[in-house]
Amino acid sequence: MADPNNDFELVKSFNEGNENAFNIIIRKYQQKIYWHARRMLGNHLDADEVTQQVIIVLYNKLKTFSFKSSLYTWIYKIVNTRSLNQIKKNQVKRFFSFEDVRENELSGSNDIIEDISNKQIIDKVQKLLQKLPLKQREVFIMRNFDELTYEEISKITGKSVGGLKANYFHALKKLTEMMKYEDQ
Amino acid sequence: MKINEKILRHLSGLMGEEEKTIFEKELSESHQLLAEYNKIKLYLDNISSVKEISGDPAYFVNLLPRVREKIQAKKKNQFSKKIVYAIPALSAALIIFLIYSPANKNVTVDDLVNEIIANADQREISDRYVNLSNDIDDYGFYEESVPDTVMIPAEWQKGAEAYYITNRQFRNGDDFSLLENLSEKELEEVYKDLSKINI
Repeated sequence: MADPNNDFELVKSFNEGNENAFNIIIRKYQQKIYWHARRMLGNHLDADEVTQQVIIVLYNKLKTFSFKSSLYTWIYKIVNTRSLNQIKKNQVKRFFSFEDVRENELSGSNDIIEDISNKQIIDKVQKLLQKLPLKQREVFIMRNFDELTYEEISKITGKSVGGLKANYFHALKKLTEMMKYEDQ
Repeated sequence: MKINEKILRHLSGLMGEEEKTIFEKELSESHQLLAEYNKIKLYLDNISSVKEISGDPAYFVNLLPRVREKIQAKKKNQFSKKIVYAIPALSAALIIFLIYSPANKNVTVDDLVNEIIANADQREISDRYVNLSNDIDDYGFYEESVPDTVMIPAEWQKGAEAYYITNRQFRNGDDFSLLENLSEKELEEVYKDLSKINI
């Protein structure tokens, strides 16, 4: 039986046909996958969709994973790419739709957060994050919520550390401006 | 540089070592800067504190089984897709095999010619089907007066349309050897047409 803390052994075991190893990998990372998608997308329905897509991709592509990076970085890369794709898809959908799809999505009753006060806090932060341009949102979420270093973010996004720092700076600037607006 | 911008540069890691040291010294000396720094830090910490909120555990318990179901459904779909593509592919392959199989390859125009020659009564055909003897000159060629079409006798036309053989060029006047001297294409046509007639 593979060590549940050792990603290399888990992947190897899954590739040898042990389906349970895959379950362990997913249980280990599913929350991180979901919450990153949720923060990027701003609503549960899209986050759920992306999370499922990512798990299916992992199931199909884990055989090709060569451990050139950590499994976590690889998974993160997939989640991030899928989230960006979903955002673009939503933008196209919104462009061709007469009703405000985004508002409907955000105010959707289908959510995994049941506590009303928690939901209000999350909704407020989600709205703030949605106001950030994609590149800034991406780096802000990875730095502040996932506590990744610039080097790790650079591996995931393929962007330079300098560029990421600049994006993070602009994200902070925008958020503090919003904070001042809220204070007034 | 504005106070706010300095703080943000520090928080973003954009400051070099020297600039960072100067800023931290300034931070320890200026109450105004420290207050502003703490305010921004608190605001960002409040945003980040959202990560402590967890969702419904049942969602994460059910997530994997749901995805597993999807994976199984996809596998089944892939199998049926393969069948959907395989059936027409196999049918096409079978048709091509039947058309180009070695058994069919042997059936040539020569075979058709031999079959006609073996089964046809040449004298009868010469006399009744192609009545040309009067129109062939001493050298075995048609004269100009030979009509382009030759009609099948009425008694042969049971249920069939009027039958024409167009522009036949016979090289030999010998009635009995007419069929042998027809070109392959002509013989094939004659064979096809004869096989249609119910005598």
